[in-house]
Amino acid sequence: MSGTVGESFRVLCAGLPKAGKSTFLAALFHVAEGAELPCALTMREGTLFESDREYLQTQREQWLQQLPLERNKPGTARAIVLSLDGKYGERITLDIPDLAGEDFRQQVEERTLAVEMMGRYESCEALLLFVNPDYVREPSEIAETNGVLEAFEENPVAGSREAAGDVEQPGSAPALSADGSNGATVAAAPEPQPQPCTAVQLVELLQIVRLFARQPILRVQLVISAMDALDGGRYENNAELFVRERLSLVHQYLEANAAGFSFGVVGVSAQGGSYRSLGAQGEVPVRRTATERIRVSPAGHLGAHDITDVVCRVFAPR
Amino acid sequence: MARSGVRSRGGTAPGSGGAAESPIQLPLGESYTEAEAALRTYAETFRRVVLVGDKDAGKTTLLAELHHAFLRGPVGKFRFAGSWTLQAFESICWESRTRSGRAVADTERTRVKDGFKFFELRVGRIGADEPPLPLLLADCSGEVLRDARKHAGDASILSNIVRYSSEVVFVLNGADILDRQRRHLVGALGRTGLRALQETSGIHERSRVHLVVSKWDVLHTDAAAVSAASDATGSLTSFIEPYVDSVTISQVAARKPYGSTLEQGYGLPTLLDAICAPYPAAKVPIPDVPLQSRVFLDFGGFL
Repeated sequence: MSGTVGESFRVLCAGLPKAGKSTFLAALFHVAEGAELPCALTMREGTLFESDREYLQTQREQWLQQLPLERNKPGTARAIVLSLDGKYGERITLDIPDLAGEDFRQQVEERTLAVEMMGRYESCEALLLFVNPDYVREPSEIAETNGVLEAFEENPVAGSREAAGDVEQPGSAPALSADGSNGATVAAAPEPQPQPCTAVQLVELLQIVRLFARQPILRVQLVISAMDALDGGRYENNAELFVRERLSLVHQYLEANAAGFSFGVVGVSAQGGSYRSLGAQGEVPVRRTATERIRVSPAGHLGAHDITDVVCRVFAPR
Repeated sequence: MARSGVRSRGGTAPGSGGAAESPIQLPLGESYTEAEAALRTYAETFRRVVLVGDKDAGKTTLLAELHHAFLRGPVGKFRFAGSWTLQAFESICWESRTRSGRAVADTERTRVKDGFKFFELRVGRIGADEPPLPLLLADCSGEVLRDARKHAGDASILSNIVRYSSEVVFVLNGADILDRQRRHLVGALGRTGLRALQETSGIHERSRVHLVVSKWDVLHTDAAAVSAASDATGSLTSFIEPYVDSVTISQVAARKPYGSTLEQGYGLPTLLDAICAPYPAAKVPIPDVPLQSRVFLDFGGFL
């Protein structure tokens, strides 16, 4: 790790909604503070209360109980500062706010950027870009979109909702008719609109950050979260291959812009399984420590459970 | 990365700060108008590419499939390196995916009123230690070429765009070549179109013309149609070659060809390679310089 004594780094956790940013931060805090197992970075003595810990501690408790974490509301950045000591005497301070995924989605879809966020982009030195494989929207093929269009023609209201993929969109209001009422009397259903695939959205996000970042070469770590979802398939423990094949546009973009980015890919399972499967108590495996739930791939020097190694990789020379 | 010239929806320009509560408008991601394209080229040097062809020839579909091909992976020797018009690419892709191949084919064409739409695409050559190549792709409506064949004024309008594009992609409708009744129309209309551009100085000695037969998936199994395509492109090449820098010929199957043995995006790597080919080194005449200077130049390996 290239961090020098007393150095402070501004790291941004970016990603679309439900990408796994908060879960990662809760697990990182737990591992660095709890030191249940050997880890590359540990929380420095006397810094437990260097910033407001209420949010982080609450998230950590949720994570420990394997419960879904509270989702950040748009525009509410949770300030997180972690002072960490490395095994080889490095002393680094991470300024790593927990930002709402909705803020990133707005930038890409609504094309607006809060001034405060612009300031974060300007000053950030490294980016942890989270992607949850369960929420990767693939580019649609002709046959698939024809199906959507046919559904739209048969039932314009349902068809357009299906096309927009907004069935689970948080905070989405029901469609209003011209007179402002909702319900069956929708005046004119809109045509199905194109929904950019995840790769396009992530490239847009990277372009926006690059547009404002002052750092000549921005360090990017692509974090494939919830990578247990990939177990049993060709991408099991191979986040790099997942990005190359399923998010090829992102991989190409970062490789082609070596003058503006240095990047790496890592897979992380911070929770150890989906909340749905973990909800069934009988299926929760017995482990000695909570840290053992974590899986990092490829594993760091101190084993596959050391989530702090993900932070080290951001600053590792490439 | 360029910060200027990218269209935003009014409001505060990127990087200009502004009131704390008013959000910054980001580039919209839509295609550029002529004026916006001019601003972009003022700020940065682009390799300009113009797609010319008759109505329904498949120009927009070609662009859509190029984007879609990059979503799948690198295209030939090139990888995707960025674009500020990704939303526009996604839109034409959506149109292409939803409308193409349907019972009533009605691809969302570039309409006359749209004039020209400009798309930005950066590509990086794989394995080469060089910065990405920015392409500015102009898509013009088929009606523009139709009118250019008939009126000198309309030909001049088209030539004003084509003149500043080093790469002229002339798209010939493969479906028309397959149609025995329309087959001969393709070559004749193509020739007149190229002639209109040449006589109004749209195409000149520095132009690189790329003749593209579209919809190759529907005609490549018909020997007569393949022969007709070859005749048409050969005839057009013979006609235009004396006036331009170079002519290339390629066949593309932009759509996913159902029941065809061709791979999706067939021909796109060849076409992209031709468009992005480096310009040949300029032939600089050796100046009549004093002997001492000639020795210096010779030492430096310049002579």
